[in-house]
Amino acid sequence: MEKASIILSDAQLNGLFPFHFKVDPTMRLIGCGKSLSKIVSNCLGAKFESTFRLLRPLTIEPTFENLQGLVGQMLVIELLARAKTVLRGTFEYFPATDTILFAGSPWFDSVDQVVELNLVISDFAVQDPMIDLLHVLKTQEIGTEDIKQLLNTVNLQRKALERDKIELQRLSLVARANHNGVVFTDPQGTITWCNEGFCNMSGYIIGEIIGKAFVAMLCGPLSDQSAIRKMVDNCNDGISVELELICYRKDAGWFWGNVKSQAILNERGEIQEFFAIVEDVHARTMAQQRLEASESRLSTVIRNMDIGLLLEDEHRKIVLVNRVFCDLFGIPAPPAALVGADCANSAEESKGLFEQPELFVSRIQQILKGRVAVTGEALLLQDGRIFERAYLPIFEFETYKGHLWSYQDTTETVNHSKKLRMQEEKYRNIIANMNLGLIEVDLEEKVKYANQSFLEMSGYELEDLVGRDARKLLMDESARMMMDEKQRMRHEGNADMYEIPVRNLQGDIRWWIISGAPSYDDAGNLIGSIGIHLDITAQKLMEQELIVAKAKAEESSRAKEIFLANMSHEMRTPLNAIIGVFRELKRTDISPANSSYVEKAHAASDHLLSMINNILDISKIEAGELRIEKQHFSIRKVLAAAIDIVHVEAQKKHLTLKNIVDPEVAEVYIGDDLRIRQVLLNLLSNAIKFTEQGSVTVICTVQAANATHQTLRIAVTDTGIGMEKAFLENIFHKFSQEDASTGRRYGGTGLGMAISHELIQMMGGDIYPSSQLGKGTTIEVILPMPFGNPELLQIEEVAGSLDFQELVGKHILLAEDNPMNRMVAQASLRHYGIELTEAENGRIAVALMRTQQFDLVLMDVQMPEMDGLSATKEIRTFDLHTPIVALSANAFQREIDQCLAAGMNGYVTKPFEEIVLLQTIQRLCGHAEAIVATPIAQAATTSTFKLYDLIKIRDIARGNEGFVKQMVDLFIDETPRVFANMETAWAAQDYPKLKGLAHRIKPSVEAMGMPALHNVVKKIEVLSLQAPEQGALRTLLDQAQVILAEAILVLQTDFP
Amino acid sequence: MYGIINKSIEDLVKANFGHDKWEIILKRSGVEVDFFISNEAYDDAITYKLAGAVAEVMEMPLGDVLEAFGEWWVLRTSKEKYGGLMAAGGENLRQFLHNLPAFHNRVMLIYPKLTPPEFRISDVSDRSIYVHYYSRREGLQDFVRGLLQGLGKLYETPVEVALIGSRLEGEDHETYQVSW
Repeated sequence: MEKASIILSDAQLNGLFPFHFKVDPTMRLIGCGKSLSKIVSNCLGAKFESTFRLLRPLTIEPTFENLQGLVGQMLVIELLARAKTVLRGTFEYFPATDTILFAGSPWFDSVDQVVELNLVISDFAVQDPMIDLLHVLKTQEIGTEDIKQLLNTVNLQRKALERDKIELQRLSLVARANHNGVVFTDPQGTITWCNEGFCNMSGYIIGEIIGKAFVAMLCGPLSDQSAIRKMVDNCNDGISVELELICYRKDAGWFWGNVKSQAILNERGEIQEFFAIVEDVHARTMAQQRLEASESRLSTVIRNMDIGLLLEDEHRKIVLVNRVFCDLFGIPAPPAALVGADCANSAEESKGLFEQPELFVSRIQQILKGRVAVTGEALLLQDGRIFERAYLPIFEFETYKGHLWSYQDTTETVNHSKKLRMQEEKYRNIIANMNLGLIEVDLEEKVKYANQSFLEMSGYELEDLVGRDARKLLMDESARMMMDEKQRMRHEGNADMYEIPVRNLQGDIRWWIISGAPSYDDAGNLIGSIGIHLDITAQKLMEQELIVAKAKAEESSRAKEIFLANMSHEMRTPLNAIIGVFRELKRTDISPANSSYVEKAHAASDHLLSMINNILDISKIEAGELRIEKQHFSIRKVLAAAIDIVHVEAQKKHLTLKNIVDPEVAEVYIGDDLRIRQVLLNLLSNAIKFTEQGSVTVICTVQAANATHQTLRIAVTDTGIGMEKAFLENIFHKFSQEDASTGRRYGGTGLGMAISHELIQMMGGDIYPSSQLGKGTTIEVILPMPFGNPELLQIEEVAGSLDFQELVGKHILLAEDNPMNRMVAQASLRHYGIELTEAENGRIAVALMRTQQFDLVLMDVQMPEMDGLSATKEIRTFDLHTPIVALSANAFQREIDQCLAAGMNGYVTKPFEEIVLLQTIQRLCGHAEAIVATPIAQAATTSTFKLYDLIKIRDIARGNEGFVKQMVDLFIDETPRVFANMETAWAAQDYPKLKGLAHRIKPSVEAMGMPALHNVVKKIEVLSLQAPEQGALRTLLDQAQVILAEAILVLQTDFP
Repeated sequence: MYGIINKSIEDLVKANFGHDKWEIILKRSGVEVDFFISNEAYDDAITYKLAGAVAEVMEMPLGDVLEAFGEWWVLRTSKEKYGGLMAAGGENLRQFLHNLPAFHNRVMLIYPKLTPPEFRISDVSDRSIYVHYYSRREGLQDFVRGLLQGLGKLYETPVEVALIGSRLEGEDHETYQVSW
């Protein structure tokens, strides 16, 4: 046992029981633990009973023996010095030292007691769980507190939940029962829930809505796409959006919807879903739009009105003012800037503008006080302007809401009115006093007013006329009928002017010119007419005299023409014989001396013919008879031919004759080669005539060019005697020669240059002479020439061949009354192997045509018994189509036209040039097969005829060249088709159809002014109806086709 | 950890940033516990999530959050809830730190579900002491630093806390030198 016993040092005892104490038998404390010493001061040596009180067991008196008896029992000892502080432990008695040891530690209810006693954890023995017990207690206390809090929280949450639930129910009800559309979508915009309101609004049932894209379902073509994009973008950015949008229903109808949408975010701030409320605001929006449009219109009207307007509210604040108002009052600010401004003092501020400033202010105050509409108040300004003012108070349900001022600058109007009044006065005076008679009548033609002049003109007094129909007083039956027509025109609102004979009160016939016009009242209603009358009796008489004079002049002109024609005929006929005889004489074998005489006589007669031709040319030009033809020709050949003709003359005078042609000059032009040749011959002849030595040079160059034309410069230069400057100015005058001696020395009529000048001008060109006396002369011709077609030139040349072999054996009938001419023709034609039968007049010719076959007829126009025209007409009735060529000494167009109209095919003037006569014969019978095949060539060589005349169409067109061109194009397009149909009808011997087609085409041909074609077509029509004969119709059709082809060609050239 | 820790974080947030912020942080953390019971053990992850959410929402480094929480724990939670016990920990900082190991050892017994860290001290001098922190948990070094700083404030003794050894540097525990 002793080995096992443990002896503890005080330190060890303190470590195990830091709150121990020891008591000796005297009940004095002989030992105190270190921790007990902390809470019980002066513990050592103190008496037990003055330090402690034994609480358990209570009944024991604190004696040493009694304490000994308590060993092994649990004791609770109170510290007297520390109320409520108790120790819990047990006594142990140590006999060796007769000491009782208390082993225990304090018992605390709370850790606060520990703190109060300044005890710390290290004051307790390590094995003492007291402090831990306190800790546990504290923890439990905290736990209990937590539970209390939790319960409290749960309770609060439950209440909140209930509140939320009620709120949720309420909200849910709001959402469900809302007549507006309520929609929830997922983050992708797909509808996940909607209320009945949305179904009603959209027209879909809920099954059709869920799962659909909200935007796609709601919006359509009229919806504002940019607003939708913005809405979607804002929602995606978590920004709530409200906008008005055109929303669509299931039935494609639409309404204005107010769409409020926003994102619902989760706790992480991510979009969980979208929420939208759609309200149908269609009626409101439309009403608003209408209101805005109306306001806008009104504002725009006010802003843009030409009247200065100022709208003030009931407090005299500006609601609206326009630019004109600002301008009128010289307010520099823009109208918009004045809105809201106070007008209380505005009258005072602007009174200085007015002539009577104080009156202006007081009147405004008066008006404002009266609140009664005011209109048409004129205000005179200091600067001379005149304003017209109006005031309009505005009441809304009898409550004054403001007023509108309007100011208008009427200076001009007032001044204008003044002027107008003055003018009116002036004109009234003029009308009253003028020589023009003025009459005003009502719709029944009853006179309302007549001026003094009318009264004088008519001889009536005003009271005789007013209320009566002046027509009955002044006009006879036919004039009244004309006036009825005029009245009808007035009722249709038309004015016009006309001449009419009237009988005045004195019974004299007077001619009046009346300008009548309908008359209207201020409202534009027709109330009658006004006529202005001028007595033109004197002029009328003069006019009638003029007509007579004109007729006389025309008659005289005609007489001159007839005289010229007769003279032409009379002179040419013998000249024809003379020249023909000389021509034949030269072919005979005569002595050199006689040959010289014949040569001279032939030359003299040629000269005479040339003069007659010149005189005829001038006559034709003056009579407008001369025409410039259009055919394809080579200028080089024309130049060469002219040079060739004058070559002999030049050679005789030892002059050098040069012909220089610029390589740029085109091969073919369209123009009148014969007339160009005539001009060139004239210029060359003159040059040679007036040049004694040196040279004559023709230079042809291109002066200008474009795609369709070249302008040619043809200069004929000589080194001759030249001319005085003074004469140069008159060179183109008729019958002008430098002096009488020149005429005598060089001969000539003095017409050559005048004719050349006229011809070149008719061809659109000009001619310029330049000369130096003694040095020479240059005559320059400037001529615009359209390009021609080389292919057509070739055809012409074939037609113009000089090989007359094929004419040998042809049988020709010559109808000619003049035996000399018959002889000349006989001689010429026989020379070429042509057999000729003669007829002395038309009647014999007709008789011969009935019995014999001829290849061609040469028909003189003027013959006794029966003239050529009548004979031709008769021959054509036989259904004979033998070509007939007119032979006439009358070179005038009228006769040529008559010949063609009579049914002739060509024309040769007498005295004829042998080659021309032979070419004409060859063309019409020698090349008989070629007539149809080469119609253009034929047309070209016979184109002395006038192919068309658009006078009728131009008359209709009244200056509209576009219309003329359209008509020409239509003709070119349409007519060949009709002819093609005519050909078909002919082939099918369908003569009624042929007749119908001819009848149909006739008016077009007539309108185009084509007498030759018209004549042929008319014949086709007559022949088809009366005595259809295929051969005759064939010939007529061929003739028609030839003329048509030529006409189209010319038309195409003239109307490119 | 026991609910009291999470509760303490909640108090810290509410006291400093308000209730609403706490709600946001709680949502952000994803922790679906509305009420923490102090004596109930919760998954450590909850505490980490809460601390992380505070850092995110308040845009603070996590270390700062933990350090602040350490101070808060000492100065508010422990003082308010266990004021007596804390006071019984020692009459001054030095004595408290001295008692710290025994204190924690006792706590371990009181909270049977606790996996408490263990503290040891060494190098005790008049002006400083080494506190050794042993724990199975990671990432709470700043929390401990906050605790130590909080104790300095509790005992109104300005301290400097230096981490002089760490598991991050290959040691088996953290060693803080607390100087005053």
